[in-house]
Amino acid sequence: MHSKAVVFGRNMKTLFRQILVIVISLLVVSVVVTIAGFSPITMLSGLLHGVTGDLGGAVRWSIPLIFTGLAASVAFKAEVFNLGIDGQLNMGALAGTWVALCLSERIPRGAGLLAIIAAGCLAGMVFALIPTLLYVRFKADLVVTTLLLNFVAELLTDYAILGPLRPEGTASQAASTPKFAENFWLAKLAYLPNSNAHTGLYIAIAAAVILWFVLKKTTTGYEIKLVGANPHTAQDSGIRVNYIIIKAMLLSGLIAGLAGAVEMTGVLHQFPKRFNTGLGFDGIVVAVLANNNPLGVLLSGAFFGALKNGAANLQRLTNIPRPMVEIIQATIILAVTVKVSLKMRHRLSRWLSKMKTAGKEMES
Amino acid sequence: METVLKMTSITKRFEGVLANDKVNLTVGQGEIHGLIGENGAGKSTLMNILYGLVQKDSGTIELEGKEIEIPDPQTAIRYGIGMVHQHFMLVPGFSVLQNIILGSEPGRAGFIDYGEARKRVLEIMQNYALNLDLERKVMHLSVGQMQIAEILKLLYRGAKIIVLDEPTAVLAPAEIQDLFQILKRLAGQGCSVIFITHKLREVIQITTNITIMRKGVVTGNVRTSETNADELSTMMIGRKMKEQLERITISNPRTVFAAENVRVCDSRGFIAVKDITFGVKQGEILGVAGIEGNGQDELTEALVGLQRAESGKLILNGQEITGMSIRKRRERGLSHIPADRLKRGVVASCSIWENLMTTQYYKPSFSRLGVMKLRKCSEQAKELIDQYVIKVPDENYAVSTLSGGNMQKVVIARELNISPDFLIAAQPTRGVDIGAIAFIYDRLIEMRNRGRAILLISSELDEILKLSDRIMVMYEGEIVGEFLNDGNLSEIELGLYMTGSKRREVKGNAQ
Repeated sequence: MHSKAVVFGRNMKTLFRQILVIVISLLVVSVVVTIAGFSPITMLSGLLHGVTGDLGGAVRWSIPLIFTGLAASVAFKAEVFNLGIDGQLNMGALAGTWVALCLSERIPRGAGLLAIIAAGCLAGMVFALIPTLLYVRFKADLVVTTLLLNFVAELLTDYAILGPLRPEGTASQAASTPKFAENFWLAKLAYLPNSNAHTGLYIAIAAAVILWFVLKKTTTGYEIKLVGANPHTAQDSGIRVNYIIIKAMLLSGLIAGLAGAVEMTGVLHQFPKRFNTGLGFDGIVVAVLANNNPLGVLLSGAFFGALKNGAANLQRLTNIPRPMVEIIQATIILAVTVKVSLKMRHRLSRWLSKMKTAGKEMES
Repeated sequence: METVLKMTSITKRFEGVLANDKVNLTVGQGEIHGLIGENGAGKSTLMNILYGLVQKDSGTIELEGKEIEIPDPQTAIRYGIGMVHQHFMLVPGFSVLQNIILGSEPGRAGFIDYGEARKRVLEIMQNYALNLDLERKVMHLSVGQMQIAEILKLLYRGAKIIVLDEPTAVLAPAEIQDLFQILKRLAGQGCSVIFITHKLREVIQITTNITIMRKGVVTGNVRTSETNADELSTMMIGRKMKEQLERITISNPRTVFAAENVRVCDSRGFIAVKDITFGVKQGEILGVAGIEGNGQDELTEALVGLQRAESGKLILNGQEITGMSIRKRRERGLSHIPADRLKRGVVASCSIWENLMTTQYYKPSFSRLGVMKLRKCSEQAKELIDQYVIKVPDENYAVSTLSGGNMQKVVIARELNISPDFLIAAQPTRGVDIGAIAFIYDRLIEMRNRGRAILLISSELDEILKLSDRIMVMYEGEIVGEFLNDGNLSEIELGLYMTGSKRREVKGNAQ
């Protein structure tokens, strides 16, 4: 019992600390906004409106961010830096769209959706496997290869839109694949009308819970944790480190591909050229704020979803430019990585007591 | 003897822990004073206060009868207090002379008067009969010579009280004797030496008085001539040291592990282990002595399976394991206590139970269809924590919160509880307190008595001599000597083999 209390206390502490980080970031951005000549109150209320006034929009953006956040967490848990989530997501989206376009409308909805999503997952995995094998076999740096493969993925999708998946009747300037049959669209959430929020939310929640179970309760999760925390000890104990890294990357790519497929069937229903503006990198921020905990990703994904939606609204409703909001993301990354929060409080109190004693010495 | 230094009632508290509780220390002129205690007893805190690195909460320091305050190391040096740290503070690319005068160079207007500096240093060297090439770069010195350079640096700054923090930990046996000669000469010239150690034999050999600390308080202050190792260790650990376990001889032992002409390369591709052949029998501890970096690491890695052997054969229980994966070797009865605990032994950020399971988790008792039986893991961990007396609130605490001794016990518990046929124990007691050392020795001998084979790799000659049935000495990747440990081996003699100044043809195959 005692130990459970300890673990619970630790989780609460982390949650508290991360909220503190968010507050600090908002303060920093308020200062920047003020200096730039805008009103921070307008900004904060604008952001808040992104949730209160448009909950559906916030949910719509939370869904892909939860997925990419999960994809990043599982890789980070194993200490492999999958910066290719964007590319894997694009490939998943493309594969999903392609399958959807091939499917006859008479195929049952459930089976069709399953095929689309499976294709997305598979494509994401395959695209994550390439750099992983290069790493395992030739020690090619994963940061570099995964990052650069994003461009490969992007150009491949461009090619698909202009080539094999070009809508009939468009010339070489096609900006999107054709729309696929409505039969294969994910349903909208009835309780959030007038928005793009869709049932992909449930898939995202399920993915988070499953990943939590995998990381927390299975041998695979245990191996990933050991390999991430100390590969030397894991190896010495008889764990095949490379094999675990492949596993973690495949899992990461699978979730990234899933994100792409769900984005297609849930919102876009076609593959618009360059639709993905950095969802993968946003996912890294989501994972960092969640401390790589899948259930935490649900919270931080929701937060960033709201923020993203709020930022779009902000630009529409006020004259505050969108990049201002991006500063929040940047500050959060900095704040979390520097682990300022609690340690700083500690140092501050020590510094204060030092000043006090110094003051006393001056008096005497 | 005239009292030079008197520290009275020194108290220092670190975030709720009393590191020093009303500690007294008195050192006479020309005295070699031993300061002993386990890790965390408060020796270092006391010395850091003396050297101005840490500020005391209360208490007084008197130097030659006058009360002084030491706010920083510069002040300490001005008062003639110097310290040789465990890790040397030398600039590798500078010559010995440049290192010695660094920070207090003679000369004017920004120019260094090397002639004057050399004259002054040579004078000191003559005075204390020290010998060192002043023009050599520090990076080309042996560890023993670096230590002399450190001592010279202090003498050059006029140190009258010299603190040495575990000075023998890095030295070969012959170098230790040299150091002791130097310390005696220093004392003879009126310097006072404070010698911090946890090796009782050394403290008895070299000091005149000993102060013993345990858990932040002084538990004893004795004349060396009036005490013995038993009494000292009782004061140090608070109870009597147990006698070592009795050894049982196994009749008709068979060879458990054999290495035949094993060659291993290091990470740069140079041959680090040169076609070594040896065998370990049931109920035998084979000690591998040698100064670190003579191929022991590479040999261990090849045996465990972390690295491929270039050529040769490894045989465990009659079965060749040369090309097998680490897990397969382990399943066939091999076990490994790594030399570098933090790097290879534990996963510091993970919990104790997670660390205890790294070699077992996939077995049916701890997981089914890929799902961990977490309760079973916890139960097993609790059992091991009890059995191996690991001091920890419960199995969910991170290993990084443990002391070195308890951390090592986690490794030992994991590696021994599966009752391996062949254990490779590399530096099993490095950085571990005395209580834990005795415990670990007992476990190893217990294993040996149950007919298991143990390969003990250690740079501590004491340890090798105490535990091994047979000893082989490694030098530059070869076995240069092989001895039965029958009680007639001299440490100095072994030291000669370890440093390569003596080598014996190893007769044929040991098989």
